[in-house]
Amino acid sequence: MPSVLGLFQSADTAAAAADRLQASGFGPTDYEVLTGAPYPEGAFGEDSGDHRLFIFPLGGAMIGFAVGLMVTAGTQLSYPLVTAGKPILGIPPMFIIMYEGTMLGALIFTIMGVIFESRLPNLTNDLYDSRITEGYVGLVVRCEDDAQADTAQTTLTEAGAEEVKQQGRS
Amino acid sequence: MLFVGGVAGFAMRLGSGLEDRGPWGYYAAVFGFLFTVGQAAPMVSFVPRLARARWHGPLTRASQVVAVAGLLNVLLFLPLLWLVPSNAERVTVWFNWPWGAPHFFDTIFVLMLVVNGFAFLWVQAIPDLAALRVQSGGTHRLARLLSGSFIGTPKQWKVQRIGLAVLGGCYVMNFIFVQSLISLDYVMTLVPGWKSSMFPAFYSINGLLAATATTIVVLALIRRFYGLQRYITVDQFWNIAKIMLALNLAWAYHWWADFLTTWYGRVPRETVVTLGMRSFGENTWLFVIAFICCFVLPLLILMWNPWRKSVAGPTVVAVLSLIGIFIQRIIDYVPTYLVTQDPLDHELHEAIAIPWPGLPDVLIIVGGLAGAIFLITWAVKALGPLSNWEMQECMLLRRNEKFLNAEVPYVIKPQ
Repeated sequence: MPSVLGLFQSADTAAAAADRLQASGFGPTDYEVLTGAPYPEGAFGEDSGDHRLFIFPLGGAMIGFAVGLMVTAGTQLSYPLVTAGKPILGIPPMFIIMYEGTMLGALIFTIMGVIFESRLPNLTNDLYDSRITEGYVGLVVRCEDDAQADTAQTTLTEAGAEEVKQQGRS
Repeated sequence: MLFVGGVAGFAMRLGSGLEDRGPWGYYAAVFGFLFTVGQAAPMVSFVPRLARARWHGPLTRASQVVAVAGLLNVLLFLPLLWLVPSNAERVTVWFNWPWGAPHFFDTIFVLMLVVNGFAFLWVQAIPDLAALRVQSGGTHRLARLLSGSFIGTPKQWKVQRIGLAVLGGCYVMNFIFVQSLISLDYVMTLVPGWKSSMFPAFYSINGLLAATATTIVVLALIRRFYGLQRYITVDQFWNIAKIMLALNLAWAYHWWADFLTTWYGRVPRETVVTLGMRSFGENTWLFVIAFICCFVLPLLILMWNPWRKSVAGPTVVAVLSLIGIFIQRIIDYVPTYLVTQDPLDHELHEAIAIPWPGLPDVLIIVGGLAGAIFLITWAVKALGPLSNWEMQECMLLRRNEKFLNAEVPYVIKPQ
């Protein structure tokens, strides 16, 4: 599928170009904004997409807690030796180990979540320009065919793109 | 060179063996200090971000980069595992836990905190590393490895923001817990009869104070040596100085709460430690220096608006606070490690005076500090002194606009 990248020197021009793209029939999910700094969500009328990062720490914490519980309660109940008349389950050390397991699980899974949800690494070769790291704003339009790519190129050029690149034409 | 000297000091100390922990007091104090300072600073970048304060951009890197000292902390921590007895030989929070306590679980805790600090630093630095990767044409190996294929899509920014929030939250929770646990397992439970519910909190407060102080010192050095006066302004110092002053007061409050309870209770096993060894008695002069550095001078300096709203005022107080915290760690560790009584005894028979450090101790102190400074300097060089994307974000969301007859800064806070 072809994709088109328009490079804009200012965020205002890029936002106006995004409006023109939508007026030309492109939906908020058809284009993506590439920036060197985070802009408020929806600043370019784009769809920033859903993510499931919250699930990772939560899932990790639950797994860690379960492992902590198994290590503590499991071992003590498996070998129930009463020491000095104390209860089999010692709550303070159990709490420390379960806390450790919970935090460790949350931490490891969060790191995995960031890698997975940010698509690091991404094996596809997306359109990019090094000027985006210098403050330019890039608009990448994913098109279904060459005709749509031509429309996107015209729209971006008319909107004031300093340069327009294309990739993946048939 | 100094670090190599520290390694030599460690080797000399190791020559005397690990059976007697008495000579290792200063070594443990260096660990305690670096673990407090190195692991605490990253929290400073998390809290203003959570509160959506828009002055923190220039100080983010200065605070997070200190986490690399964690590498040294892990190495320093390992010998302590051979120095402290197991939980069966003393009264600990681990009660009669049958295996791995405290050594195995504490090691996991320390490693977890260090990994958390690195992960926090990495996620924060991904966009800057990506820029470096792009600018170098993909030839910068470290940037290529650590930034993956980050290109700055809205979803990537969102994931990065939430990742920072989660990792930062985990970091604060881990830090307080680990500091409390270290204070119990490597300090308090080594002294017979010392049972203070305030000490772990006091130990952690030292950590929070160290967080602000270290960040200010690193920030001031970066500002001075990288010539970043235009970007790192008095705003950052002024705002963080307010937090530091609150923590200086909290430091004094926690000491006072511990002191007053012990003094009023007059229980011999408590007074011999808290009054006779830690505050007055044998080690009065050290305590007085710590008290002056962590409370009296900071209060006297930062209570004045012109001093607080400056670069020099908070920097001087930060240096004083770090000196005070270092002395506090000597008070915490050195006499504790010199206790020769059985930790299961009912009480400590007499307070222990802190001896002057020997040559190996001096080498370890200087080498440990030099090693931490070396790691931090290397990380600042590798990652850059400022977080570029965060600087840009702060500038994007802050504008000076006219309000009636005055020009005031408007700060945009997206929901």
